[in-house]
Amino acid sequence: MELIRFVIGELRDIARTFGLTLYYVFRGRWHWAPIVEQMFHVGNRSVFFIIVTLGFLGAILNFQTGFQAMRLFGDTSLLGAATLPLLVRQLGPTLCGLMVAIRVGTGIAAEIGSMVVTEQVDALRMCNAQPVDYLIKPRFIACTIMVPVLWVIGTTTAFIAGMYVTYWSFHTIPATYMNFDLLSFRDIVEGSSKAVVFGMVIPVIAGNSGFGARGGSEGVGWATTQAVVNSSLAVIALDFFIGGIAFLFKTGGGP
Amino acid sequence: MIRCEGLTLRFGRNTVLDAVDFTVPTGQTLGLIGAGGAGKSCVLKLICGLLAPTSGRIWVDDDEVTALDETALMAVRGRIGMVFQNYALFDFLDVGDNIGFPLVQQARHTPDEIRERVTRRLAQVSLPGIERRMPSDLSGGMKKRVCLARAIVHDPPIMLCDDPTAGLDPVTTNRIFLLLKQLQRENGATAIIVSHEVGYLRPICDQFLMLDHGQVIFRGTAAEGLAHTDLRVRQFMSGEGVE
Repeated sequence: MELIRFVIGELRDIARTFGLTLYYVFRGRWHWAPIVEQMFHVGNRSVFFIIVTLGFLGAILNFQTGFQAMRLFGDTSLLGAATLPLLVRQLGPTLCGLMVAIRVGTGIAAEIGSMVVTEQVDALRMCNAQPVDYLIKPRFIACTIMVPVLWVIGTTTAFIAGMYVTYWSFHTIPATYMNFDLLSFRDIVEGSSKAVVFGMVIPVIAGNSGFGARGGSEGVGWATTQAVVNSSLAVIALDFFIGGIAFLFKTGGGP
Repeated sequence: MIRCEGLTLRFGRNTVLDAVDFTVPTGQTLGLIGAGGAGKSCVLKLICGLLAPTSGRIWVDDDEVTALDETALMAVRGRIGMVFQNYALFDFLDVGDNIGFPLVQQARHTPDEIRERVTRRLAQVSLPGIERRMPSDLSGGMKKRVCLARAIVHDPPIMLCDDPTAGLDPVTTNRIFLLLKQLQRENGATAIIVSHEVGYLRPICDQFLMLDHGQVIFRGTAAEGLAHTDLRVRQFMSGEGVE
């Protein structure tokens, strides 16, 4: 019962912060300097991890798929064509989202959490600055722009890493691997939609966790952990729901 | 004028404030005293709407703070200067930008006006020429004075000071209290000062309010406090140990 009440309370707080963020994005003033600064932080903090993670993932995915394809059909010529839609609409945005949740979300929660426990957030309110407007909005805009950029970088890296593994392991030449025939416009829309949505929810969830920090450094640590857990769960859950909606659009609900 | 009626604040089962009543007339200074954890800081945060009371009502001049939404509260907060217990300086801004921040948010001043006011306030707190230093480069006493400069940069008619001299040496403590007295005299501000330095507070404050476990146990002048029948009040007001 206590857990259900906690989850409902968390969802209500996140929804409220999300609503306030959207309000300030559309109604408030835009200060480009902090937005550009945050875009640099988001991109700079995550790009290395995304390249490494998705690079290895692309390599493993192609090796394992190619290995099975060789056993079943003795042919890996369609490996690139088969894995690309999967990377574009599924693994690319989800892993980018998870990496940003871990790398950027923790930073946001720790920064805002330490501002809360040192009364800086109260000082902001006393100076007539709304914390959501001042702290969350620039991060929200930055992540909404940068996560799709990271998705493009990550997916491209995974696809290229897969190409090298396929060439070295199965001797499939790059020209054969680079097959875009199975990639549809719907896959790109689904993948980019996921990247945009993840970019929107991660700073809100992480910021909300930061606002919930109480006490001292222990409270900041708790907020940071909560930010990673909540935003990772949100990425996976939203991945499922957006994937489901895209499937319904694609098939009209049929098999 | 600041008026509180039946102010009660509870966090779960813990009662922080229990039916606290007091009034600070315009231009007067109230010394808010009491042991640690008595609820003094919460009173200040309730007055400026940073916390919402469980029950009770608060007025700042003609505005009932407890009935206002966040947008309306911003107008009230614009009339209040607050000195925070833990400085609350923005660590991502330098000293000049910290002090000028309330003016920037008001969006009514030119950059030159803001710069001029920041320079003037820094000189007033005896810290001239440190505009470009970061808060992390300052000592505790300097941070307190910068926090004070930020609180008064927009000439607020109401001052709330939460332990403005906590952890400071006697010389800096004296300097800060003299400054508060000077500002109060110059601006005629209504002020509430939370402090354990009752000896310094006595010449500044028109009246005192003592809290104990969230309840008011004394309300009156320093002389009345020194002659009070309650031992706790006498000890606090005189700064003496246990008799």
